[in-house]
Amino acid sequence: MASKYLELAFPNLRGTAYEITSPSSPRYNCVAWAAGETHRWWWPAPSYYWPKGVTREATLSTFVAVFRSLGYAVCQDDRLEAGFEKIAIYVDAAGVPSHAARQLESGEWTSKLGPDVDIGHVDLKSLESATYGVVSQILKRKKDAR
Amino acid sequence: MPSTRTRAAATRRITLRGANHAAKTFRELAEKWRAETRFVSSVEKLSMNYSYQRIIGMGAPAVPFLLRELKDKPDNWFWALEAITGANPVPAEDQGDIQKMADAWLSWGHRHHYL
Repeated sequence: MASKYLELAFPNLRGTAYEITSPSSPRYNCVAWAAGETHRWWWPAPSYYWPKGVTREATLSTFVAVFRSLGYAVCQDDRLEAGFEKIAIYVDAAGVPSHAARQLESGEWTSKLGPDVDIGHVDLKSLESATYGVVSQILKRKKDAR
Repeated sequence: MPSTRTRAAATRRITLRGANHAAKTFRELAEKWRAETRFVSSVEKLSMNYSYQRIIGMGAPAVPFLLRELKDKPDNWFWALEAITGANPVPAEDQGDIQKMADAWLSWGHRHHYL
């Protein structure tokens, strides 16, 4: 169902089959959701959750390190691959990580939008915007690696 | 010349007006911050938002408002509280758990007579 406020922030959602899949919640964010959690806000800032052993710095390399610590490895594309789950990291115009999304078994993607809602979206392009910038890195892991 | 009682009443009115004004300013800034950062995960971007910075700029008078916000609808007010008070009552094991972080700050607020 179309949602005007989402399409204003993410114009690429217009005309696509996206779906709001949760109420808004400030209890978790996109990184937590991509990692499979819904009770913590993951960010490398003081007082927030960040996996032990990973530098507390908002850079692409530290975000990659976080997902490596969860069993992911860097890969080249966002195609659905049998037996693998994928995540994507978006970076803003300054190259700073702004968002993470997780691929669903259907090949579509799921995202938690900051403290707002979770949505299902057909592709990664849907959320590329002034708000989130562009996809910069895809990672994948075997489904039984969790 | 106004009596002592009249002066005290005038002072109370001015203080109350100031408090009401601060509460209104806080509410407006908090709403603007929520609207402008509703899709933001980055704690740095949440905290560097202009309205959020203005709340930090309100200083100690903002602390009771921030704590009441945490009580009513826990959100990312921790950076502001830490910046204003210099305290950080959140145990390491609760980092990122917004509800537990809010609870830690509310206990701190009671101990320091902000609530």
